[in-house]
Amino acid sequence: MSVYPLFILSAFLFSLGFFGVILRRNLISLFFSLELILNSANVLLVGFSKLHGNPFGELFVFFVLAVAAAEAAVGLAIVVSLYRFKKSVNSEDYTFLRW
Amino acid sequence: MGITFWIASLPLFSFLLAGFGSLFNVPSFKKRSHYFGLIAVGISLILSFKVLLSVLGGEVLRETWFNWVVSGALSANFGGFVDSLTAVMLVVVNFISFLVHLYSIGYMEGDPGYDRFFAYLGLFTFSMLTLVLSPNFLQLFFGWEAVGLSSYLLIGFWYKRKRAADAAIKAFLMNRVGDFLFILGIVAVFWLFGSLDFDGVFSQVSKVPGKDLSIIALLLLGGAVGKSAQFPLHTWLADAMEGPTPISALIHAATMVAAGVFMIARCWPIYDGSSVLPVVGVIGVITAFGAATIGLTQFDIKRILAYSTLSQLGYMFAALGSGAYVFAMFHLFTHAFFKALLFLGSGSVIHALEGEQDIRKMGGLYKYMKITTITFVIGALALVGIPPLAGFFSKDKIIMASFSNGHKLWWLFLTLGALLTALYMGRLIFMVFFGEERFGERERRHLHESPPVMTIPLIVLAVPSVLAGFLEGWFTDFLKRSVPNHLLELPHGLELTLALITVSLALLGLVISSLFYLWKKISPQIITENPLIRPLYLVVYNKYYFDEIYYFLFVKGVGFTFGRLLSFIDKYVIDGIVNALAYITKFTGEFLRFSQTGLVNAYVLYFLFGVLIIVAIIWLV
Amino acid sequence: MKEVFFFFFGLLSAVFALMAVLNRNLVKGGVSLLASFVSLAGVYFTVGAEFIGIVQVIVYGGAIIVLYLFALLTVDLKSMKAEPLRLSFLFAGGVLSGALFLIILYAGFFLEGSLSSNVSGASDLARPLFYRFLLPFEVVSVLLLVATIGAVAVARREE
Repeated sequence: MSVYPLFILSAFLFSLGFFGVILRRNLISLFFSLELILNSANVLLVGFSKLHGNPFGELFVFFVLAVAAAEAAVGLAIVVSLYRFKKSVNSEDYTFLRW
Repeated sequence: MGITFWIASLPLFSFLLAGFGSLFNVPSFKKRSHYFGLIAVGISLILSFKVLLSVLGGEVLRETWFNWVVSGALSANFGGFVDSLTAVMLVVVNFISFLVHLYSIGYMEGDPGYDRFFAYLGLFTFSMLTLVLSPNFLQLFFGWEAVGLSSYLLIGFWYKRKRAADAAIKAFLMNRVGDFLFILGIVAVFWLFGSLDFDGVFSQVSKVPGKDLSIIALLLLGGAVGKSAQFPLHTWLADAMEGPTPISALIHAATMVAAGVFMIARCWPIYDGSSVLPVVGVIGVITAFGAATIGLTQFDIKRILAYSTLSQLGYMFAALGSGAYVFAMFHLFTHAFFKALLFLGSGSVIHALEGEQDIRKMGGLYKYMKITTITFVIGALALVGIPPLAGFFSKDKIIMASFSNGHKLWWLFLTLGALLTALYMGRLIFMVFFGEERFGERERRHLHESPPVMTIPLIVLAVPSVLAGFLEGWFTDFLKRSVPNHLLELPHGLELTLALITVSLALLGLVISSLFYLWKKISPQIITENPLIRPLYLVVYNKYYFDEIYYFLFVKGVGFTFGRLLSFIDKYVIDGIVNALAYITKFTGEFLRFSQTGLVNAYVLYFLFGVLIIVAIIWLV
Repeated sequence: MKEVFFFFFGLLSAVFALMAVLNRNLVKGGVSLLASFVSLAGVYFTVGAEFIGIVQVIVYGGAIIVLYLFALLTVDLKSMKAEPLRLSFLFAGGVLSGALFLIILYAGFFLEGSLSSNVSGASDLARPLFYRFLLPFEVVSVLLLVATIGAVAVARREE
């Protein structure tokens, strides 16, 4: 089995994640897209690990998982406190750090 | 290294020592600064006599002190090159410089800048010796600029007087015009000959076409005209009289202003090969005659002498122009003695009258200062050309050379110039030393003969002023070893007639001036107030309005218009570019700041865009 | 057989991911994301990364998505304005991410070789994780601790 289908899947998830981050205004949806981007990296790590027969790539997925969990926890905490601050999770409401 | 090195560098040590005392205000140096100069220049003088003797024995010294510039094909040493031309100049420069040092002890006594004065004197002597010793054009230029610098410093010695400071700047700027042409000439020499050494250049002159030589000769002539204050660039010399009188004697009469003559004589192969000599002569004749007429109308004792210097330098240029290089050098030689004598004498007069320089406020001084009067009269007669004094021999030779080499018009003006010389010198003597006393009671009480330290140089200088003329035959033979003397022999009778004409015109001039100023048979007002002559008189009195013309043309015209233009360019073009840069930056910023939306999604968009651009760059490169 | 399941789960995870990104309803989006992650676990199983697949289901499905859904509980979804759709961002994001997709595809186009059929179980990964990568492992545990404390500190109500 070739590695290319995994590659296509990873690329699709990655681009889709970026597209979502650019398009969505809801902060929680934005985090969904970020998770997609992280997962695309996982897919690629697994794929290359299997391609080269080296378990270290799969091992690295653990670390990515841990970082993703930490990011989700902290990010959601920020979103919650932002919501408390302005009763909104729309990213267009949080543009006061501009010109 | 060698003897020539010590000749040139001893005055430099005097400069450094006296300058050290002056700069750091060392009191024990201040009062003794003249010792450095006297000892250094004295030893230098003895050494130059020694060099003269060895050159007389047929030797030509070529010494290399050290390597100065080596750059590709260009290589120049500092060194000493002494042939008969240089040997004579060495002796003259050191002799006059020594006497001026001696004289200045008395003249500058009590001046707050006493030590500074002697430092500058040392610097000047060093520069002038470097100039005459130079074996190549580059050292010549070094000396040339260095004497210009010391001249500037000494003219502006009393820098608190605005007139002195202005005169210094004027002299420097006028010299700059000439020096610019001079350095162009040196560059042209290097370009055409591939060398700057005199030996190397002069041995190849015959291989270079005459047109190129003429261009070089004209450019070098520009430098000589500036330094020797000839016709178009002459206006600085009269103003240079704002400097202390010993300086006028040393720099602006005897040595530095003669550097142009020396340089042309040194470069005679270039001038002989070119067709520029008539230009040199015409400039000389115009200066000789024009300056003499101005000298006739001035009232400042030093300015009269300055115009006389101009006139005599004009004679030297006329001699160069007729190809009689040796006679030009001979006149330089004799003129150095009697003009230095005249200036030092006038300094003695000014000293006695506490700085009064207007001859209308003098008169009858012979009763008070016998030595000054006698020596001054000797100098004046030598200048006028009364046989057997020195000036007669040298000036008569020049006038004769212009006649015999076929420049009849030059001869006419030079002869008339001799008449004018007699007129203004007679006027000067009779108004200063004879006739009624026109100074006030206060000055009379102060009047005194100058101290021996000032009169001894006068007496010493009077000796060669009387006797130098008899050296003519020896001098001519000696100098012919290094410089040619193009001269067509005249029949003996004609020669005698010409000399008689000159001498009788000189005597006539003296008689006329004594009629005007000594016996008061005729009042000068008859001429100056005459409605027909008065406009002419005013033109001459105002020095042919050269200062005004230059002011109008260059200060007003070029300076003002050009300044306006430059200021416009500066304001609108250069500042415009700078301001435009600032505005572009500002407006770009004003515009680009809208990209900072504060929206997270937008930043991700930019980030992605940047990633793609980097990918594109990596791909394409 | 493996390939069939691989393409099935891969397609499923792609479709659910698309729904998760495009769905306006947050709860539906979250559930789609959960489905996408579980499908991804299926993909991992088909390529022989069994342990990763299990962890994927447990951590992503069981922990992270549940965390998101719990966070949604604190937000009053009904009172919020409808999310605006910016056509310029839709267009720019579409074009740029499409370009990104194509570029990544191009970059992987020349890969050769096939996947090994080894099945990596827990013991295969445990040995390197606890010997060779012990230090990163411990650092990650510290990171998780810090993230927990930080999350509590950030989300805490001001007294």
